[in-house]
Amino acid sequence: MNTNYVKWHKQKDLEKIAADLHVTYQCKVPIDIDYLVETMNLELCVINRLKEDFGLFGLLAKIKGKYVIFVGKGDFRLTNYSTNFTIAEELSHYILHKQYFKNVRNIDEAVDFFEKTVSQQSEMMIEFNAKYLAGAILLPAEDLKDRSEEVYLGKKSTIAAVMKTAKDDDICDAVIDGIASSLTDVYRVPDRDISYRLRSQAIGFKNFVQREYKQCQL
Amino acid sequence: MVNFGAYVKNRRLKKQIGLRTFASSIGEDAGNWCRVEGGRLAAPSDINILNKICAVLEIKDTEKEHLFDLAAKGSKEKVPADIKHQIEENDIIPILFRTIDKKKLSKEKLRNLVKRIRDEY
Repeated sequence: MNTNYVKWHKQKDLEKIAADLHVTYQCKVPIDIDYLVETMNLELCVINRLKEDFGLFGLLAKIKGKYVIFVGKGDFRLTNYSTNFTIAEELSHYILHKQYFKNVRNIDEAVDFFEKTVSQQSEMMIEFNAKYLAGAILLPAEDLKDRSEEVYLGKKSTIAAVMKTAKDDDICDAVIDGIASSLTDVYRVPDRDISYRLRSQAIGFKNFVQREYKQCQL
Repeated sequence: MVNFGAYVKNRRLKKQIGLRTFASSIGEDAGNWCRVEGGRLAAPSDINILNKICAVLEIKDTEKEHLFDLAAKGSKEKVPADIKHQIEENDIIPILFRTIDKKKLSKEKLRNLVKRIRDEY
């Protein structure tokens, strides 16, 4: 096992990759991830029962040298919003990890590659990086900062009243989740993924809410 | 000469419309529509669908005839079987196939997955 085989991408590097994509492909909120994928010359294909039969939400595959993102359909839990995030994750794998597979020629080699070359730790790194980049692609940092603060300020008096009486700063998490819920239709991304990104250092919204909480407690 | 699927896809991307949004707006299944655009499924022959495509893509009356010609040609071709036989199972290489519960797919299941992809791609 070679745990160092996979490159770890720092969050600031992933933010830059996403920001460059937004500029290059002139992306606007909400990001049409299907359009972005196809504009980057990947193919998008929807197939039946990917999750039910194989336990997969999405899959990146190479077919005759062309990269194809497969997503499932037919599962009632797969909303368009969660499919958007799945496609963004697979696109992120393509951007960050496709080079590891350039010499993989068939299914046996793909399995061997995973079993012999990539350690469990590396797999976690791969997934973590892809998830982070997917969030950065669908939820542009500056836009999300502005909109989340705007929503917060619009509800400030109500939130402040609750914060004043809160027993501890767990209330900050509830506030972040609430803001995420109100932004889900703006970005067409599940609220859990927005919450996750709002808590990231790049957005800094958690710090912002905690500062507000401390002010309310004075 | 460009076929129906490629023509529509090109027009769709020029209008910056994603696959699922487009399929939904013309009342088609996204899974089937990606195959139509990829030339792996016959073009629609239903005039209502063709008119919806023209409306969504804002295809002018002068260009409609061209689209209808391509559709007529594409709906007669026996494309799916021909294309399908050009893709061998070994041509399909799944990459990063982590399941939702983080379990590895067995080799047998992976082979079934590749068969499914070959059948439905």
